[in-house]
Amino acid sequence: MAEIELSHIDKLYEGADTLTVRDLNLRIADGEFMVLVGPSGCGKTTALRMVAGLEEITDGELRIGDRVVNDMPPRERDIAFVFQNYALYPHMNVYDNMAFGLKLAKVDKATRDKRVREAARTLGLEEYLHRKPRALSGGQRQRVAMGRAIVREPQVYLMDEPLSNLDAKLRVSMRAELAKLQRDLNVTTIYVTHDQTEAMTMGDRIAVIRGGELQQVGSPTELFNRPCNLFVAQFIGSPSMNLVESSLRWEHDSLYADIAGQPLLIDPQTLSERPALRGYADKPLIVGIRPQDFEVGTADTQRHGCQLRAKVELVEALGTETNVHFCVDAPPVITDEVLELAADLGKEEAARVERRAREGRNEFIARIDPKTQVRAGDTITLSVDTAQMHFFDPATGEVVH
Amino acid sequence: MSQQTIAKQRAAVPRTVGARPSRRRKTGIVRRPKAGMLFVAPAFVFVATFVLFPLGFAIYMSVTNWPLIGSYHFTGASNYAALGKDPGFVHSVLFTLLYTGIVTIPILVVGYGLAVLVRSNRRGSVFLRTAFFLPYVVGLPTLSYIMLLELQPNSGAVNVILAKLGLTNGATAWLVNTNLALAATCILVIWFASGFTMVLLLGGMQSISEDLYESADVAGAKWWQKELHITLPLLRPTIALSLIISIIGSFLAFNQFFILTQGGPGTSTFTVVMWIYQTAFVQLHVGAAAAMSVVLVAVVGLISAVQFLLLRDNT
Repeated sequence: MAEIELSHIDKLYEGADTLTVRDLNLRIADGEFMVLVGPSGCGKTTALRMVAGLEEITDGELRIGDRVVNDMPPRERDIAFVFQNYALYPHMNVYDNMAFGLKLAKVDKATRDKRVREAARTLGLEEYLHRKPRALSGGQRQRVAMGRAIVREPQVYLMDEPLSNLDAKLRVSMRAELAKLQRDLNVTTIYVTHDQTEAMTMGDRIAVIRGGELQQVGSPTELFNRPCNLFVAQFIGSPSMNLVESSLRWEHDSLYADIAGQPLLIDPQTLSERPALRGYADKPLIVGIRPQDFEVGTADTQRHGCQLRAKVELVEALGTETNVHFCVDAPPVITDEVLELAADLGKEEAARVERRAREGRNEFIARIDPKTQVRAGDTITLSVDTAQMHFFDPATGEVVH
Repeated sequence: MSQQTIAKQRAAVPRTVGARPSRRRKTGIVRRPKAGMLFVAPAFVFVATFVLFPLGFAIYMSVTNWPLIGSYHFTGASNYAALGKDPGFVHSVLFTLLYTGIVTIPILVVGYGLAVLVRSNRRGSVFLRTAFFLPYVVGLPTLSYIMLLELQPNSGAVNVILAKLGLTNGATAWLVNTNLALAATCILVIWFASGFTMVLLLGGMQSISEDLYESADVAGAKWWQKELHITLPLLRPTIALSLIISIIGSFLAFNQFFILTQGGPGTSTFTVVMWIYQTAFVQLHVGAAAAMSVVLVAVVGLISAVQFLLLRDNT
């Protein structure tokens, strides 16, 4: 059991001219499940490898428990590392793979046997103990990698995208299994992933990293409800937050955000929580609305300032929910953050964002009740939960407090 | 074109499309072997001319009293029966085995050590790799001639250095003493062949994923434990291959002894291949030499078969 503390950690690779990890400060409580998440190449794996001792720390201080471990070799740090491709020893069977670390630690044979069998039982690997890794399925290999970490009873688990090599369905079930296992064992864990869903479902807390810098740390709900900047807002949540350039104006003592000519009332509560919003009157501002904060309603003049009328472009019925795509006649928000995240999702997504930028079209997604009958081409009225709207400064990308 | 014909043609389209692959498959059955044979033909002609025909001819010669020039007659298995009674042949077999026994393990161990030394991407490791492999590129005959010069009493570098160090008087005649000659030749061959073994093992080592070592690092392994529990077991097929190559090379040893000792003193450093050469081209008993060759080919073939089985089990 141990707390991990990273203070002002920097990493500069030899020959590189920019820091891969910059001034990373993070405190992981004893028994906590901390997820490091961010797009590919953001430095999250490097950070994890520095905690493991597989990568040298350029600057800063790293503590595990009450020891500063900066210059300690991995074997003395009392950690277990689960690799992305599992790194199972191909010439050893499952039993020996799990027992290897214990053998090195000179644990006596009886204890070794007991721990390996216990872990195998927990992970459902009992009948595979004598198989070589190549005779196992992806999910089983993943379990062996976990078992190898468990039997050593380390102070800390470090996991580097351990589920990314599994197919989608298995990933979902292993996700739950792994999270439960960590709660049962109550061992401090740092888990690296680029998949925000994995981060949201597994972590006690999530640290969002971009370009080597920590953006925000918090519980999944905190990150979802109160993202501190555009990057976190875009990254967390699926489908991601709808963003639109807007401007604020006063009308009868109320502040309205103008969305393509349709006014949305800024909730008085929001205004009192975020006083800085007043300073944005008649200035550009980015408004964010989560897809789930829309609801299909009927045209109702009473609810002025809470509604958007839109023409449906596409309906994706997923069974448990329906995603409605519609166009908003306002310039899309194309910031570095948006482009970076789109690029991370692949060429197609990047091309889509670029096309939208060129055409000046802004596509919104609303997640609505699947029982609602909506078809492409319909013009519908969507009511917006205006209390849940997010506001960002277009210049800095920071949230407006 | 009437409406009907168009409709007919349209209907015909899927049929043709469907038929196409099967037609291609049919012609494939006829054509592919022909094309394949054409591709293989040059190699086959080469192997037939320079391997199969000479081998067949050697087997034929081995059952005659082939005298190089003049008439010959069929002698059955008598050449083979006489092998055991030829003291020169028996001695050369024993000497070759002794020589193989001496050099095989050092070549592997030195080669392994060199591979460990140059496997990391440290500064200078590329230079060292080249340096260690260079003797193999230069070739054994050239190296043997260099060795021959440097082993000369009084003038050769070896003796000069030993004399300077005060270890000998500088007049050691290395190559006329069986043990010294064998020792010198073994050192030469170990120097020559370990570079090649190094390259083989290096290839094997580089195919072992770095993750395994990192995983062992985290699990608490020291460098020698990683070598013992990860590198060695995963390198087994490569080690087997380099051992087999090295053993076959030793069984076929000729150049180094031919140049350095010419089999002497006496016939004490005759290897099997040298004895075959001696029997065929000095004593002119070509039939008997052919019988020895056939036996040698069989032994080497057997070793290769063992290697094949060993490596197949590991894949």
